[in-house]
Amino acid sequence: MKSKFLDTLFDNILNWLGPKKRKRDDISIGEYDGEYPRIPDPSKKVFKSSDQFSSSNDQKLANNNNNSSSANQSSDDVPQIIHSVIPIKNNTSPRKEAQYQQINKKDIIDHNKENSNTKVKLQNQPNPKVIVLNECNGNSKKNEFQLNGKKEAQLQEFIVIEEDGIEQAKQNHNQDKQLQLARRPSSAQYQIEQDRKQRENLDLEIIQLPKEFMEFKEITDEWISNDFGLLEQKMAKLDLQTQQIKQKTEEGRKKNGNNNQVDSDIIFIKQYHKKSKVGELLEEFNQIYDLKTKKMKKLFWRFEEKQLKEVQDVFERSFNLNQDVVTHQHILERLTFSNLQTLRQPNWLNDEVINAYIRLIVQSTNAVILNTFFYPELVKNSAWNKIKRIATKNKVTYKSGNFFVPMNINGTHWSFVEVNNETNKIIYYDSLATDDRDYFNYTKYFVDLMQNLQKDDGIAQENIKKYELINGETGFQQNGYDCGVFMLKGIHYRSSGINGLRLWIEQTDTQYYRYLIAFQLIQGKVEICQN
Amino acid sequence: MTDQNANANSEYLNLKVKSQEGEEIFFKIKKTTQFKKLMDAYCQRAQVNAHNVRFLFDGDRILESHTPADLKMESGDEIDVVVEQVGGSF
Repeated sequence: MKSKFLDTLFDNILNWLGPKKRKRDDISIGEYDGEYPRIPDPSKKVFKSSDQFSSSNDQKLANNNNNSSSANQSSDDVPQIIHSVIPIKNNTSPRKEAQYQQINKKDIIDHNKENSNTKVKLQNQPNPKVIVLNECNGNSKKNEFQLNGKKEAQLQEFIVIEEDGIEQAKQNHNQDKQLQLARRPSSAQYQIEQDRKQRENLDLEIIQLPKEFMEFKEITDEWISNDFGLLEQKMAKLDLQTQQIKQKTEEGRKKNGNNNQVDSDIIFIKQYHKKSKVGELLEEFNQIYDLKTKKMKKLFWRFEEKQLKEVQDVFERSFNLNQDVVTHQHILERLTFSNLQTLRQPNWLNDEVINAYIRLIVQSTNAVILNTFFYPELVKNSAWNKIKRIATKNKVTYKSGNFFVPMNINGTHWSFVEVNNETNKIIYYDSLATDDRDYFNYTKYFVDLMQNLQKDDGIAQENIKKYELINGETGFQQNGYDCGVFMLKGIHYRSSGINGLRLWIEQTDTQYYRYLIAFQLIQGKVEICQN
Repeated sequence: MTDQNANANSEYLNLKVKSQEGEEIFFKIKKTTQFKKLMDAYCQRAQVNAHNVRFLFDGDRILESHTPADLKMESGDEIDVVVEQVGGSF
């Protein structure tokens, strides 16, 4: 009774003194009121149900987050955006499709009135294919907007009719353009010029092949630098020499009878002399040119529009990125959309893409190319047993041939090494190499590797081969993202025995190579037959 | 003989999964179960995204559909876990 009395008295005094404060009875054990500062224990991050402090701490957190929670509540009232997924078709935008459909309905009918042949075909086929002329293909967005504004009669220029009727349509198209030229030459000419320019630009962007090749260039340079006049002079000299030798041999024969050695010399000179005639030289050069271009055709690919679209659809995908694009039995790496999108222009290449493409190269050239995971093992200095197991599995030897190792340096850069066992050289190819960079640091692991491989076979230390470190020549990248492309194509060309990488891979070609690698990965092979 | 028979007949293997930082986790797995279970278990345990991680056995890639019997594994073998490699320039 006493205590109750005291309590009520105490409360009354408090009320009388100042502003209202919470009654003592309201405060339960362990409950925390905001007015009493209490620091939460960092050790008690995980609260148990039995803890007394848990409820208080939770309440405190709730009190602190009151403002934010109220903000959240207000945001809940705003209607949420429901994400809708639109599947991408082969035809570009839906708007463009709609345009074509509208135009086709009218123009096909117009065309049928003029030509009876196409009319029959259209009637036979329930769903006629509609194809756009090349001149229309060349046009980019500009002409789309032009199409919108134009009337029906003018639209006939841009639209085409049927697969079989393409040639007729082309003829009609040309005739119309000629008529237009006669009527109002200035505007039509301007259009034609514009079309041509756009086509040229497209060619430059997509299919720009390196025109000069090292081996071919050596021959052609000689040929160009020697004028035909000089060639004739040389031939005259050769004639003189042969005549002199003939005289000498005849004299010799008269003295000593037949001498086979001199005869063979003459024959050799005759053959050389024969070949130095211009017409035959031309044949020789053309043969060489054909051989080289055959090599080229295996390595390069002329894109068609469908194929480019195929690649572009993969690049522009924005949903379900972890889905597989294709699966091949001989490629263990997963070719998901997100992995293939690392081949898009400003992105850095992925190890998944690189290992998959290396598998394709090995399939076509039978070269020895290691994984991207081998170099980190060397850097880690992991157990020799393990390194040797991997090396023997991949047929890495010191005896003959050469092998290639792709290197990922510091997780930011791609480069590769070629170890040549016949010339005892370790060649380091880097598209960013400068004099400042010490390439010795990256390649010293391979020197140890080759020494250890030889030691393991029981070769005495005197007979162990010593390898030279060399900085190889490649094309140089002029941006911060293309080194993976330089590395992949460098390995490809070196493994198929091509020298002079600087001319084969240039900065201007990388966009083409990115599309090519993606296309080859989707197809599952490097060598694609030329049409 | 008894040991050999026991090894040959035993259905289970003890495999070590080693990350790049040197952390080791041991798994007991049947010879005929696919590696997908092991990978999922590891990714949950180590809290990594399965798409950013590669599993290697002696430098070669392990697929989800592989089994220890396919790769001729023995108990005590190591599986390396490697993070995605990327490169563009310095």
